[in-house]
Amino acid sequence: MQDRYDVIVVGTGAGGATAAYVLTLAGARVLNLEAGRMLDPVKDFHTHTWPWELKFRGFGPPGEYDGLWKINEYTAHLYTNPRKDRYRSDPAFHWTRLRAVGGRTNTWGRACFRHGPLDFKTKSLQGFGEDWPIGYEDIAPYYDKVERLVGIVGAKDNYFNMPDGIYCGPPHKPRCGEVLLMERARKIGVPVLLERTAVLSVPYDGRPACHYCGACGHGCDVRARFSTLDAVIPKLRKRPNYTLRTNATVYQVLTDENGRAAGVSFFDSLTKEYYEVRSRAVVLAASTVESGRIMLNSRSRHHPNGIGNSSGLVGRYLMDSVKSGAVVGVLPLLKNRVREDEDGAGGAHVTIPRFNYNRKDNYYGGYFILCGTGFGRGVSSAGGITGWGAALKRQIRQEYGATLSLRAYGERLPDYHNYFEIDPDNKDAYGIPQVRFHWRESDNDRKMMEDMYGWMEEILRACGAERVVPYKKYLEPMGDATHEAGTARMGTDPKTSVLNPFCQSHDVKNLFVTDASCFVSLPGTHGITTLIMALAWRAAEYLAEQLRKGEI
Amino acid sequence: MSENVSRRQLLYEAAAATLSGTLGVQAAQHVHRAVTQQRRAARGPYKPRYFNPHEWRTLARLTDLIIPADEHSPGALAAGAPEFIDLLCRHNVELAAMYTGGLAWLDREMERRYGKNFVDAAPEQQTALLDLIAYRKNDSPELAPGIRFFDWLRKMTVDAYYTSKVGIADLGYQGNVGMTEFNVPEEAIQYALRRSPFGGE
Ligand SMILES: Cc1cc2nc3c(=O)[nH]c(=O)nc-3n(C[C@H](O)[C@H](O)[C@H](O)COP(=O)(O)OP(=O)(O)OC[C@H]3O[C@@H](n4cnc5c(N)ncnc54)[C@H](O)[C@@H]3O)c2cc1C
Ligand code: SF4
Repeated sequence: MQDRYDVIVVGTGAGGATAAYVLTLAGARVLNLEAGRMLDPVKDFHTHTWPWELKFRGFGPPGEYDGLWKINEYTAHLYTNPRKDRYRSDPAFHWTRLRAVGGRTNTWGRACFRHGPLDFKTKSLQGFGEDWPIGYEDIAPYYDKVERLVGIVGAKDNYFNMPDGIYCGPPHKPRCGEVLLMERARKIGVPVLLERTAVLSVPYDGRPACHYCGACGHGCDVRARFSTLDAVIPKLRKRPNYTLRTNATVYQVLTDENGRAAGVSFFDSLTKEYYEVRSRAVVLAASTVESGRIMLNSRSRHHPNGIGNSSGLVGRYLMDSVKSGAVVGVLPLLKNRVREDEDGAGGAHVTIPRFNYNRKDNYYGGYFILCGTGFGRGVSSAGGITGWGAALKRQIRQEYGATLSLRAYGERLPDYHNYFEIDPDNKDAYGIPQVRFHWRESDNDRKMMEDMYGWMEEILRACGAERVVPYKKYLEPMGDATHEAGTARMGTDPKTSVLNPFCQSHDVKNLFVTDASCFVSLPGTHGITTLIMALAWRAAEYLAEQLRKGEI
Repeated sequence: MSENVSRRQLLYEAAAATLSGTLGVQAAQHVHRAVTQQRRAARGPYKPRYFNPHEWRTLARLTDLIIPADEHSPGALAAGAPEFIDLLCRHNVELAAMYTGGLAWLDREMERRYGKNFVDAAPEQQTALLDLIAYRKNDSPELAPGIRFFDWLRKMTVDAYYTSKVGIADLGYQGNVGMTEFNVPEEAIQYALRRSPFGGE
């Protein structure tokens, strides 16, 4: 590492890699700090591993991952285990962390639907929540750039409030059950669109097309799905003005005698040795919660409540999609089908977008529904099986590939009382104070939940479900949707917001935050990541210009 | 591990070759198939590490009853279900205690009914008891421990079976191979749609 950099970017996930990319290409000397290690897709991802090749058949040691989320034998070496790096929450908050180059883009769900005009002007156009200080027209050109970088496939849908994107290839064709869903849902007025996804259907940007093995959730060993690890960082490492320092766990933003950002301090993740590095500007993109944690932990004479926190709003207005449980139906129309290879591009090839724009509901906002069908790699014991013997085996064989599962993700309204703060009694392995979460389910969340379950049942019935696996109506703990956002919201008034419309701190002009911290709302549209990247791109372009002009 | 690495390396190269047009999907599939055919060499008979010989015989019989071999495919025994359960019990004391207790309950119940332990009873006697404890609708204070235990046993047997090579083959799963295009045959779609009362034609 050199002594002095123009910009230190913290994090190599969606927000960090994008900011580093734009700044590096603009000629700035960039130091990119990443808490995790470098991954090798060939060695680190279990893309083609059969369950019987793993000691515990994919489940992991008994009890080991019970009560955890997203962690199993395929992914345990990637995600941070909350039993090893503990935090408190009241009630339970499901915080998903993946510390490695690429962050959570290594295992993400890859859905890339654009947010539309209504989503940025929630209050003035929809009559609830709050408006962003920017509109769709400000972000649209950056969506264009991001989508070209990411490589997205999809269809021109011309769907209300979900502008079409720039696609590098045709959408993936729907599976049999997905065709059925499209036919049947339409008849009850529920739209089903082809998935817009960051999984290549054609070779693009030096990466191969998907070979349809359906295993993206374990990480893709051939780089056919977008991750910053595979598609952005390699481009940067060729540049002399870009330096990547892995295993660097950032602790604080350092300040100078005027209270401006002077650099950061970090611990080497392996040796736990302490370092300080200097720069003209600092960009935090360690993911929403981690960036807020760094800010709150950066207390100094000038910033007694944490850097950039004169408003007291860092950590406040925490949002994550309102996420239902799964509702699963057995569709006789799909029973006893000729077996096909339906792995496809991991995840569904279709999606149900928000469809309540023309309705008067008793709640605010809307939601999208994710669908799962197909002949998967094995079946799970979870689906309410009963009996024993030849009959049980026959039933499983018949219902294999005949189920349709649905799960809804909805808009969460910003609420001051949903927040994280620094936990005075809990530090991590480096001695860095950990966060603590507080949140509550709102009346709006519960009303939306009733509507979600109602429609999911309705859709299954429309598809001819003979049996809906018994379920309880509930909402997953906040965090479970992995769409945390809002805890350093952008705005024009320094008293009611943390960042300005360029993700720049109101208080500290050379401090930027380019992950979902800046979100003002969290609409019911599937695609937080490309929005993070578009905002990061715009912020980094602005910062590069400020650096060039010598204003920072 | 080194095998796995070289296998993934092969896949990566196969994909790179597909990209540059030098390797067809046939060849790519061949790579996939060839590498997934590495199997553990046959070893001697398995020696349970947690269960005693009597429990082991009982467990094996139970899993065989839950997922038997049929004209389609081998059953839970061939899938290594008892071995899987033995492995899990070795790693988790609560699970182990549940199995010890559950198997003992079955023996006591069989003794009470037919004067024999479970595994030595006649097949009809064994299946008569299963017909009681395999359904929640039969729940009673007397049967509750058996019903609860059987629920777990069935879940774990099902999980073991359908994560095994024979179990996944029984389902007819075709995937985990490379394809250059994803196409659902028109016949398959018509099959689903035509049978719908108001869909298709
Ligand atoms: C299973 C799953 C499915 C998902 N599906 C979708 C989807 O379909 N569509 C969608 O849009 N989004 C999806 N997401 C969400 C998506 O992954 C995130 O929105 C996105 O990765 C967030 O980007 P980020 O840069 O804020 O954080 P991350 O990608 O998490 O990157 C943060 C980086 O910062 C590093 N870091 C953290 N703390 C420090 C520190 N103190 N010092 C230095 N470095 C640090 C981390 O190691 C990490 O590399 C999904 C996520 C998961 C887990
Ligand atoms: S389905 Fe496609 S993108 Fe996903 S892991 Fe397989 S090859 Fe990669």
